[in-house]
This record gives sequence, structure tokens and C-alpha cells, in this order.
Amino acid sequence: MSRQFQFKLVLLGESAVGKSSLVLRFVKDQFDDYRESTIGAAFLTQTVQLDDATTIRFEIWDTAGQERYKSLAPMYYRNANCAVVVYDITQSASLEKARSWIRELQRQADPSIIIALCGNKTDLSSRRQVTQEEAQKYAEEENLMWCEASAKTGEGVQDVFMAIAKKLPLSAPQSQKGAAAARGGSTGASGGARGVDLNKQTAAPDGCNC
Amino acid sequence: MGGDKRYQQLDEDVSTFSTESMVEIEHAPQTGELNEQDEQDRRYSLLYSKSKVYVQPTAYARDNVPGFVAIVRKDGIKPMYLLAWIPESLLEEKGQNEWDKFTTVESSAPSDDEDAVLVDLPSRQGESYAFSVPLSGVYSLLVHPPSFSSWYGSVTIHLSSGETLPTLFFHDDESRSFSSIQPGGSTPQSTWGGDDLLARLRNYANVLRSSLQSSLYLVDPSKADLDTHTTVLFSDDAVDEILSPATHTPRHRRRESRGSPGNRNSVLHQTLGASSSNSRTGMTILQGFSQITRGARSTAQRILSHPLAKPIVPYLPDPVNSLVNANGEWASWVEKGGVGEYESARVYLARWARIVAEEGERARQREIHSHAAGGGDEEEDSGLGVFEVIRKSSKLPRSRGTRDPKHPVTRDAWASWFAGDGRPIIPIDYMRQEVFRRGCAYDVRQKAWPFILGVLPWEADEREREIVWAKLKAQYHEIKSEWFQVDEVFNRQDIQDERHRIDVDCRRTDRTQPMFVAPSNPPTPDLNRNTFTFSPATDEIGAQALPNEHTEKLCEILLSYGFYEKELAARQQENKVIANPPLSPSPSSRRSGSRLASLGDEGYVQGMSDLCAPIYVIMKGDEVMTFWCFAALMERMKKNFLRDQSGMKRQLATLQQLVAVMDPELYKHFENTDSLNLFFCFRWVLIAFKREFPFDDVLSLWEVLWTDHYSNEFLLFVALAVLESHREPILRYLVGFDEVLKYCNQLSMTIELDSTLAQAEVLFLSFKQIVQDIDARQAELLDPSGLRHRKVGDASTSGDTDGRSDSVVEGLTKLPHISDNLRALLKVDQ
Repeated sequence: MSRQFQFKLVLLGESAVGKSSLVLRFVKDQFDDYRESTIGAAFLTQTVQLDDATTIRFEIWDTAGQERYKSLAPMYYRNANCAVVVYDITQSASLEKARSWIRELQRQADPSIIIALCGNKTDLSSRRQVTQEEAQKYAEEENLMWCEASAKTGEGVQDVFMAIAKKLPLSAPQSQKGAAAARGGSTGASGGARGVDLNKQTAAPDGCNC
Repeated sequence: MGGDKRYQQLDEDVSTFSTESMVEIEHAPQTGELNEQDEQDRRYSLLYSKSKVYVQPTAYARDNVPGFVAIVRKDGIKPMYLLAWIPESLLEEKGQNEWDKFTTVESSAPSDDEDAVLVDLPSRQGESYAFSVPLSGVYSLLVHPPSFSSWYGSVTIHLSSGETLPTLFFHDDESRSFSSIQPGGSTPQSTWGGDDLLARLRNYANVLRSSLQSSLYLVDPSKADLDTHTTVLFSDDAVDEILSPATHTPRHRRRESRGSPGNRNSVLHQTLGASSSNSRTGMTILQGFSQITRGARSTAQRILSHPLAKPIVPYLPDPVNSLVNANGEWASWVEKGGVGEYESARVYLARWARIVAEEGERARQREIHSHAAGGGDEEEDSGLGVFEVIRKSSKLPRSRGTRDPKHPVTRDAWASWFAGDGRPIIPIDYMRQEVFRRGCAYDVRQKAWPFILGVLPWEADEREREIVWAKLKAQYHEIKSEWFQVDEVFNRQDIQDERHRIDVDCRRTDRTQPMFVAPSNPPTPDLNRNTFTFSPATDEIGAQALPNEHTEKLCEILLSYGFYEKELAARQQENKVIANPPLSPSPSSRRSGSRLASLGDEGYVQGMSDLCAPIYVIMKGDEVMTFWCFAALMERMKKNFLRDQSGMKRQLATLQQLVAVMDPELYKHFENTDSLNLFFCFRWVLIAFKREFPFDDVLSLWEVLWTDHYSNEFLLFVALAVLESHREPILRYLVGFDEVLKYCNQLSMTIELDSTLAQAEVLFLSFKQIVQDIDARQAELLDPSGLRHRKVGDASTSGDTDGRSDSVVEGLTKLPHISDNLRALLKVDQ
């Protein structure tokens, strides 16, 4: 009987670094040259086979990258088990943004959150602005996973998620097979939506009825 | 099994078939004449053929026998029509020629009998299941359309002799003829093969649907049978099997099956008590909404309870494909990645139920159309969809939609609204109303949008407008000159960042529109490019789709808007008044010094490129007009882009309150699923459904929204309409915020605009009605006159002897609260 674990993963990073494209490659093995910007958030799931007896189901929250929407990010990384912070290796500024996301996660996310720093667009390495050494060094300092990938070619994309899957604590099953059971649990992604900022003013059920 | 069990359910038949019931019949006992003829002449004219109709002797698919069902004519003094089933194996035996006859007839459109193909009919020996039987010997047909518990529709033929022929299962998904049924077939509404067969049979026999058992069709019934079954003439409109099961569901069951009936009662029954028929309208409408999808729910229930459906996902596509008959839609759905192992089963089911329901609605629409074409009520052809159902199912008046999108405002109509000097001869409200009702033809938009958005003054003649336009042009160029070819501004760090933000989005906005199509080759470096070209540096090109001249113009407009907006904010701050910015050119004195100031809370925010690009396309690349239309649009929408998200929060909160009043059950569900933030509507609201509809529909939607015909926030009623259309799948399947969000995101490009707008309008009108009823009832309860007392008593039906104050308090607390935000929805500020 194989065990299935379910983890909530959030993608963060500056606009246009390729967060949605990485997810699209991971989940559907596709690439879209005209991928639109993400408005709000997208939710996708994908399952990976860790070994014969273990599958990992990722519940992936893909977020809007632009600074202006930063105030919405906590609702996505709250209760996240892992985060992939993406930068664009051809844009050094995007690594700076990644650093600021990582600082925020370290301060405000679940302390046990696993953070992977991922440099995207290795297919454009001729225009590289962020060296592997620089990023790797930073990742080591901060005790992050680090990798590079190309959503366009697919290179390294599966590896990112597999590496995270291997690092996730599998001691206590997050869920058994069957999404309904998992959702009943306290760690489901729906829990992450609880207490969303947007909700606070109006969530009281009788608040607007009396 | 036999004649005594004539009407038994097919589901039972499948497992209890025995070979001895598989009779082989060439004619029925009644028709003695055939006996004498058929030995001499076995040639028959083939009138109708349909492949992949199976006999399923056992419950195992491996035992299925594929064949053709056919209608043939035996020519004679009195032509005789026969219904036949011939197994494929028999046709194969007879050779390619014979086989081809059947497939040819199958794929050709129904034609007159004259040039019919002659075929043999099966002889007795060999094929145990083959039959041919004169229609005059057929007593009845038991017809089961495809359902989720039996994926293939079936027809069981009962003979006058009391015998039952093997049940025929229509594997439409394998049959080549199925798709050809639709366009040119005898019955445009055919939903599956058996339906088509019935339609064809009606050409040769009187086929009557039993009113006692809806799945039973009598063939040329006797007078006695006619009376017994009190049959009505079978007409094509009886085939809407997707919706029909729901109509038998007693209405009260709906509420019983729900967890929290109280809310609905408290909101809508209270308004009912106000003895206003109008308030009932609101209730009927909400119930009507659920009617659309109730069929889907009951079918979904069936599959959930079916053992075969347990490992649900892999098995669904085929039967659903044949059932919903949604040709391209299903395929595109699958392509979109909707089906896969990673798909949550519940999201999957919810979407699937939606497709079934929508297909049912489409079938119903076709039905309405065919009635209208037959000289029916022209009003029925209004595209209002569900509301026609509501009206039919209720004798109560209803809020009527006014939209007529099939007759958009044309160039001529638009021109006729202006006198020779360009001064309008109709009031602006009439123009807005007409645009709301009908929308604009595509080629009118370039002219009309500046008026709808208020960029050009309505009450003016052409000369006056030219003056305004000249000012606007000058003002735009002044704004643009703040950064354009001004090195110290253009290459300033904050502007570089802004340019980057804008550039990356413009390069991925509407690139499928012809104007924005990416060039296939990078431009030659340094050719016609200078340091002030938008994309930061030539060597960066390629990280995303290549820009073209139009995406660059879009960038320039958006960057200029940032400068404009910054000044606007500064001026408003200074004047402490809300100005009407697009129409009032800012004093140029304000502009001095602005080059030094950085863009603050203003400036480009993701989503703005989505709002600007359609305007640019409509304005055919007119940079200045695009800018001012965009600026006017942003006046409506900039609340969406505030850093603290307060504008979005307010709108989503208002939508939440709207759901609470209009659909307490759905509200409760959102509450139970941690979804009350309605964040799955975020994208809808932020960019006004730009990503939810195809480009052309977005144009139609936006101009309707901009008219402010009913409300400045009509958008929220559109959002409510979408939610209401999907309330059943949401209520039934989606148990968490993530699932609702995923479901709603995936509605993109599947929402039908006109019916949604029609629903939104009726929702608005009924909301207005509900608010009026609540207010009236409140006033009534608080009214100290005796009139009030009597009415309360009537409404509550409980004794009114308990004293007034109790009932007043109780009555008041039962009334839903209409917040100021909700009341504001009824207002129009223009």
C-alpha cells in the first residue's frame, strides 16, 4: 500500500521571472511563449512518485509577482510546507527581489518551511547576469536549497520539485489517499485561506446581517 | 423475460439477458401479407442506417455485438416499413459492397426515398440477434437516453405479439454518423442516436410518447392505448432529457436536502410575506437559476452511486462525450488540461456537471429557437435562457431583462443620433441605455467608446469637440514629453524599474491579437532604435516574446499614464476635491517640478496592460485617444490597484454581502469552505473579466459596464450571475477554498456572455426589488397604524394575539440587513 503525502507549495518571486511557466512545465510539461501575467493566484496540483511506496502530492499556489500585490502573499505562504522563490538569471534585480521574499518568509512563514531558491531561464545563459556562484553562496548562507532550471526547455524543472519532495518530512503522514480525508485535516491548503486579510472585516457571519 | 415484463427497466435487462429471449423476427404475426412476399423478394430500400448500435447480451463488454440499425421500405402497392438490426459480422459476410451501402446511407443526409439504396435483409440462419420487423408490428419502444449510470442510450422494442427484441445500445461515440446528425439532420435537437432514430421513425409511423411513462413511446397506438396513455403528440421538444429529470423533483425536496434552509426562508420568505408579487419574482428567479443545473446534479448523483463510477476519473470522457454532445468543447476542455491524474476529482466532477448543464441549456435554447422559427412568439427568442424557463414554470410576473445583443448599435444607427453639425439629437442617457441593451457593432466602437467613457463631451457639436480634442492631444504630448527623450528621467532608476514592469507585461498581453503579434525575428540591432526606445536594451530582447511597434506604444501609454496619474493625485490633494479628470485638462503650472518627483503609489500595476490593450486595438493604434480612454477607464478602476488592496477588499466585501442577500445558501457554503473572502473573484473584478472571456466578448462586456445604466458596479452583478450559474456544482462538489478558486479560474473562456449579462440584469432588478420590499416591510412593521397589524398577521400565519411588539421585533430581525455598500449598488453617479 503506497503512502501519499500532501504538501502545500507556494511560488514567489518577481514579476516575469517565470513562476507560472515553471509550474506549467512541472504540471503539464508545456511551455507557453505568451504566458500572461498571473492575476490574483492560480492553484494547481501535481503528484510525484518519490519511491515505490511513496507519492507526494503538491498543492501549488502560483502567485502574482508584482510588488503591488505583496500584501496578498501571506495568504498563500501561510501554512505552506515549502516555497520556491524564483529569480531570472538574466536579471540581477530579480535576485534582489528573491532575497527580500526569502527574508519575509524567514520572518513570517512557518519556521519549518522548506525554501528553494531557483534561478530560471538557463536557456538564456548567454545573457546571464547572476552567476551560479553568487546564488549558490547566498543559498548556503541562508541554508536554502538552490537550483537552476529552464521552464522553456524543461531542464531541471522536475529536479526542483523532486529535490523538495525528498527534503519534506515524511515521518507523520500528512494525509492518506483521498483528497477528502486530507482536506478534513488541519494542514490542508484550505487552512491556508483561513484568516486571510481580505476576510477579516467581513468574515463574521452575522456581521452584515444584523 | 418477455412480453409480461414489457416495461421493465433497461438496467435490469442488461444483466438478465438470456439468449432465448433473443428472438429473430422477420415480420409480426399480424402482417400475413409479408409472409407471402418476403421469400420471393428480399430486396428492400434502405432509408436509414446507423452504425455501432450494439446488442449487449451480457454485462461484459467483450460479449457486445456491434451492428447497424436500419429502417427499410418494402415496395409494393402499399409500401411497408421495417425496422431492422443487422450485426456487422453479417454485413462483413456479405462483402464490402453491402457494407458500403449501409455506411453511405448512414453518412448521407436524410433524403427523399426515391433514390433509395437496395439492400438485403438478414435471413433466418446464423445471426441469432438479427431482426427485421414491420413497423406495424411494433407495439412500443422503451427509450433510455444516455445517463451517467448507463453510458449508452438504448432502445428496447416491444412487439404487438408480446415479444421483446434485444435492447439496442447506441454507442454514439464510435459511430461516424453521430456528428452528422447535428447540422443537417432531421432533428437539430438530437442529442443521441436513439433520439435520431425516433425522429426518423416518426416519418413512417405515428410515434406517441406515453404520458404515464415518459420513456415509453407507442407506435401507431390503438384508440384504447391512446386513451390509456392519454398521450400527447410527441414533438421534438420532449427530448431534453438532460433537464427533464429535474422537473420531476418536487421543489420542496431541494430545501430539505440542504443543511441550512433557514437563511433562505428568512430572507426570501419574509419578502414573500409582504404580499408583494414582485418579491416572489426574486425568489422564483433564484429557484430558476438552480433549475439550470439541477439536472446536472441529479445525473451526477447517479454516477456517484454507481459502482462503476468509483474509480471515476479514467472512465468519464467517452460517455460524457456522447452524452453532452459538446463536440469541440470537450476536446478543448481536455486539451486545457482539465482532465488528468492531477485533477482533483471534485473539481473535475464540478466542471463536468457544469458542461452537462450548459449543454442542456443550449439544447433548450435550440428548442426555443426552433419554436420561434416556426412562427412562435418572437419574444421567446430573446436569448434570456433560463428566464424563459422561470416564466414558464411560474405564473408570477418576473423582472424582465431588456438586453437585445443580437441587434447591436450599427454605424447607421449611431450616425442617426447626431445632427449635421455633430450635435446629438438624443439625450446621453438614451445612448447609454441603447448601448447597454444592444451593445455596439465592432466598427462603431472607435467612435462610440470616447463618448461612453466620457472622453469626448456628448452635449457639443463637432466643432466644440475638435477644440476639446486638440486640448487633449496637447495635454497628452505634454505629459509624454516629461519622460520621452528626456534622458535624466527616462534612465532614472525608478523609471527604469517602471519601464521594466510595463515592458514585461506588454510583451505578454493579447499577443494573439493581430496588432500585437510578435515578430518572428529580432529587429536588427540599432536600426531605428535609440536610447529612448522602450525595451531597455536590445540584448535583452528574447527573454520574452519580442515586442513590436504596438506593444511599445502600449508601453508608452502606460508609462505616460503613471506621470498623468501622479499629477492628478497631486492636484486632487491640493484641491481637496474629486475632479472629473479626463475632461478637465490640468493646469500646466502643476507640472513644473514633477520630473523630479518619483512615481509613488501611482504608476503601472499588473493588470493595467490588460485594461489598455483592448482600447488600443479598438482605437486602431491611436495613441492619444487610447491614452484618454484608458485614463477614463482607470477613473472607474484605479481603486482596484491600490497598494493596500482596499478597493478590491471593498468590492469583494460588497459582493459577499450581495451573495448573502441573494443566495444565503451559497453564502453559507462559502462560509463553511473558508471561501468567504471570494478571492476566486479577484481576477474577475480586478480587470473586469478581461481574462474570462474571449477578446471580442470582453469588448461587448466592457461597453455594457461603462454605460452605468443600472449601477456603477454592475460588474458585481455579472460576478454574481456567474456564481449563480455555477452554484450547484460549487455547492455540491467544492469543499475548500482552493477547489473553488481552481474551479473559478478554469471557468475562463467557458462563460457565455449574453446569457450571463441577461442573468446579471435580472439579478440586479430582483435585488432592487428585494431591497424595496425589505424597506417597505420594515416601514410596515414600524408603522404604528392598525394596517400594519393585520398584514403581519397574514404574513406570519401564527396567531396575532401575542402582542404586536414581539412580532415587530421578530419581523425586523428576520429581515436581512442591507448595508450602505449594498445600497450604493442601486445608485448611479455619472
